[in-house]
Amino acid sequence: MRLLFILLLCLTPYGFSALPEGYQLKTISLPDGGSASVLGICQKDDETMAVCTWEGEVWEYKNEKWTKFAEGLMDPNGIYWDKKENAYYVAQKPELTRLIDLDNDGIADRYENYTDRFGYTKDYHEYHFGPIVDSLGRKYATLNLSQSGLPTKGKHRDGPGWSYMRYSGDYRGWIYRSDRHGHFHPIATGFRSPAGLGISPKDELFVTDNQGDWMPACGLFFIREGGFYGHPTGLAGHPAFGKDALEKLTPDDLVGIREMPAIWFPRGEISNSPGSPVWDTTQGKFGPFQGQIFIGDQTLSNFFRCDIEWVANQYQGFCVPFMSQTQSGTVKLAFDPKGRLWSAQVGRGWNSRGGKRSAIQYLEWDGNTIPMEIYKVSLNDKGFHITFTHPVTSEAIKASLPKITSWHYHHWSKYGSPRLDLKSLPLKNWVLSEDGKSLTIETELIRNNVYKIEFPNLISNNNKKLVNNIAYYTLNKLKGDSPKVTANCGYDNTPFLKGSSWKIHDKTRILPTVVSPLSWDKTVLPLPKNAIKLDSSKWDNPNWKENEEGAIYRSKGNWKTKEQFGDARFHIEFRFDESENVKTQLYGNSGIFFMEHYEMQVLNAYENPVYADGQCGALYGQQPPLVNAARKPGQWQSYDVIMKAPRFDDKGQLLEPLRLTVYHNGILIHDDASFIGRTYHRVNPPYQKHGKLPLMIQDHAGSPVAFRNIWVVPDIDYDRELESFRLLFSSK
Amino acid sequence: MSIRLILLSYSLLYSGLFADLQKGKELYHQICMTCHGHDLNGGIGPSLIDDYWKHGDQPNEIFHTISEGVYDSNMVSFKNIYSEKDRRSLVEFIIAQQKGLRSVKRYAYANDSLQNKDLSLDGLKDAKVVKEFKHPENHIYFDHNPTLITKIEANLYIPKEDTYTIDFKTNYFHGVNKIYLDGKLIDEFSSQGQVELKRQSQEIPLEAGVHKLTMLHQKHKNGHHRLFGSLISKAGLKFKLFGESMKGAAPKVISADGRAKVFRKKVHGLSPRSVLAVLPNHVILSINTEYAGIEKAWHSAKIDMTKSLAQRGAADTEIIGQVLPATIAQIKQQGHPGHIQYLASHIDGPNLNLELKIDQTPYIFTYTAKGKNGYKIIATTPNKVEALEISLHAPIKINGKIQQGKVLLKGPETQTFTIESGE
Repeated sequence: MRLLFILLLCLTPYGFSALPEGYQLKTISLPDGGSASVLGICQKDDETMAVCTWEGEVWEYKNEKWTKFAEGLMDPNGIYWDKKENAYYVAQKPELTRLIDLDNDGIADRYENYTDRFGYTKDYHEYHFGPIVDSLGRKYATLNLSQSGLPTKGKHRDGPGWSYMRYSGDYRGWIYRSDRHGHFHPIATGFRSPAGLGISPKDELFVTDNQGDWMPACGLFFIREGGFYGHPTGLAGHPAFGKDALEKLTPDDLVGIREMPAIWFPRGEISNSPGSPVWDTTQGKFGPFQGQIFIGDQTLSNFFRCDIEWVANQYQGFCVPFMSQTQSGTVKLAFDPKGRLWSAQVGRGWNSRGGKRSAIQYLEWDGNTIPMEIYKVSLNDKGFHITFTHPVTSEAIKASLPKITSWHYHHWSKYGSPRLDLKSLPLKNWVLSEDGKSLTIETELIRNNVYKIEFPNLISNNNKKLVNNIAYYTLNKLKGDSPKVTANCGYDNTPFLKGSSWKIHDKTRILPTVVSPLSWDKTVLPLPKNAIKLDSSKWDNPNWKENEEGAIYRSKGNWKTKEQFGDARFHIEFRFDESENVKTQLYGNSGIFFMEHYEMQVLNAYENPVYADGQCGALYGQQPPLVNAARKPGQWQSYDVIMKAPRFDDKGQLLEPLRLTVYHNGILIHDDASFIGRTYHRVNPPYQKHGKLPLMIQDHAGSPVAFRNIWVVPDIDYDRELESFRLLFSSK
Repeated sequence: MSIRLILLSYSLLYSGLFADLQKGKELYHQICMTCHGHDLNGGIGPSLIDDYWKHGDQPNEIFHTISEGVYDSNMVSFKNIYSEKDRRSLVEFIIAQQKGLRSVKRYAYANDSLQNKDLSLDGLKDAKVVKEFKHPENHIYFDHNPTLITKIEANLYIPKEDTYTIDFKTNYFHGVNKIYLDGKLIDEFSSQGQVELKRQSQEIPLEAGVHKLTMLHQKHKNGHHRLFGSLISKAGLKFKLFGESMKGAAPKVISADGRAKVFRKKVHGLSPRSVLAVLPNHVILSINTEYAGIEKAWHSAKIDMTKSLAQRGAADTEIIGQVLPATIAQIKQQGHPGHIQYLASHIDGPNLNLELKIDQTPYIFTYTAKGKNGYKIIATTPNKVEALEISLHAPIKINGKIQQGKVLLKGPETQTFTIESGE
């Protein structure tokens, strides 16, 4: 569809320099005799870069020579080399694939279906982008919406109709994580065509999406687990909405649930089809922009630079042009060990301004020349703080006073949005720092507006002209705005959780959707034949006593099994006594500690919105349950769990984390999830080697909680049983 | 002297008076045919009559390729095999088989270079070329950039003397277009606003041989994306000149070699997650990963991605070959839902191993070439399975016996079984 809209564009390059001073653009011949079109690029080792192509191939570039590694893939939009596993990962349309060269002849022999637990119906738009990988080796990828599917009323492009892009199958419009073969964990939705994925050095997820229906412009989104980023179609896969709800949704239902992008990219000026963001982690090898973000644009054939800051519990920031006139249009960027920025470019189909069908180029800094650039724009109480890479004089500023304009966007089903309330804002005051590098400007600040700050003709003290003279700041929140708190308790000063981009025990974290549990009789299971009933004789703490009704109340001291367990299946029943005036973490707090160190929370979650990673069924301080399937206090509830113990090598290094799949009251709340470390309050200490260990149930302050009917099937084959366990309650 | 005559004399000069079309034809069918096909439409080597010339379509470029061969390919040097005269005859023969546009060159001029003159060859006489392109393929396409004027020059190969017209069409034409043949204006049209365009040029009598086609094209912003044009003869010969662009995409046809291959492609009629097994005997199987079946099969087959690539994957990949009957509809465990999981494809030399779980039991299916157009599947599992149910579309040999309809395997048969097609 983009073809049509490109027609409507009048593209005038804004203040983009062709190349910033000190940078050089070099071109690499394309693989396959120049006939390939590249879709992704990654570094393999110090000498090798690898690309994946539209032709479905993977090529390696070493010593200025190309060799083919794999073929036969379907539109692989992204490639990653996993050093540890000695394997490539590529996102081809039907699956995320791991490519392995078993016999070391330089050609892939094994094409593993890493995960395909999402819908694919052969629709052209069902792109699959990624993967990016966090420091734990977990893979993330995005799924483009389709042109066919739900909602059925989606044919009308303009309201009151719904949208153009549809839901053709599971998790279209989502970003997901896959931790291992067969694992699929949906993270967030609201995407339309999320072609660019990036991961910050702190393991935070970012996605760029493309303007269209419900995407008023392109932007860089900071992804937090559970978030909704604007396009409603993906809500068909959300437990709080679903397919039926999608048919009935109205635009009003979206108000208040949508997360804004960290940065909007004004169309035609800076970006029309952004590729993947990369962080400059080159330690200065690529110039003075360490820690900042670079993105290439597919249509405009340019690179631009961004940086973000933490304001009111979310990221927002600015973008500024960097260079233009690449040969084709960038879809992916990657730094190599020399600090050179490689760009995979493709123009075919969506004609890039560069004009070439495809290209591979890299941008290299001379190690010395600092171009005159807007280094940074940040928000302060009354306006903005702007830093330059070279000092300027007050006279120079006077001769080039910044022009400030602002606007905001519609959120609607039409393609893109005009700039609303577009206006010039007065420059109320300005102050230049003594060193001449920082300019503080005062102007009117309006939330949810894009600010364009332009220096018409700024010259530095050493007579360098500011060519990239426009910065765009996305002001979602003002400093001091209070974030939306979701939980009745929690924290805002804890470390970030890898991958989910929330803080530990985050009081603003989106809470799991409340769903109905299965009725009690549907969750009653026959005792498996190898099961051991863990009656009170099997536990080590005599304080925990069975009462007349067969319930054992939480008592003084933790309660451990005498026997130690490795891989196992568990069934545990628990009940919170109805208690008046008890709330938060005190309403029936206990915990199931698998292998003594890894806690799944036991706490009343019925109308008790504690912080998401500390509610009933949460892997404490790490992973909330997929949904909240709690019953009311006073009713018995059940956990059914299969667990795979962590695996360590001889040196004590973790090979595989503790995994588990869990039903709470017959509802799946963890699907092959894993602990990222041990569980404590506010921290996740790393794994330490251990063998079999007891099951432990926690003593914790709080209103009474009782247990009963606990049984274990020891020494199961977790990987073999996983599939059938996933179907445990499906017939009920 | 007309441009056409100049071209013809050029052609005569280069080829020498001794180049002999008939000799070229003989030589082609003696040796070139084995790789480039009887009708020059390709096989082991690329097609010589498609729109893509990897090593150039100029007579001297073709001559060079024949003489020197292509490094790192099956195309050997023929300079010590055929005399120069013979090689020139081959060039002559190959060129004589062409139709449509060759040697396309594209030039861009700034819009203001006309300086208030109308768009014409004359008006551009002194204008400065801002960009020059040589096309690796020979369908014309235009820049998106509405600030540029495009001039296209190409050789038009006419296979047969006849009267020709050019058909033009596009959805939102907005601009100016002029087309010249051998230096003579044969058609022009323009529009001040967006219009739907469908027109036919005047009739043009053309002799067989090489003609020079020139087109000037100025696009206004908000205008059309592509202008489509085809050349049509009175006798009904039709070929596309421009609009149907491959945008520089090379033809991509995959054939079998000694090693099995695995392909995932969007192919009409195949299930979305089908896996294509390309076996060394040129048999291609489409394995349905939802039913563990074979939903389609071909022998003497190739995977042609050319059209699909030209449309960035929006069009289907094609499988060219002789259709074999689809055989296996479904494999499941008896009394189970028939839940299949596709885990991996593993290329083991000439064989392809597919790892599947059938109702949660892991199986390895080994697909092997058999004879000229057959295949053999050996399935194994280390697990114990009570009974397997195989539903067949067509009769096929299972464990040595021709079977049809629904086949039940029990006991040890479920742990290893063989399915064979062909004799």
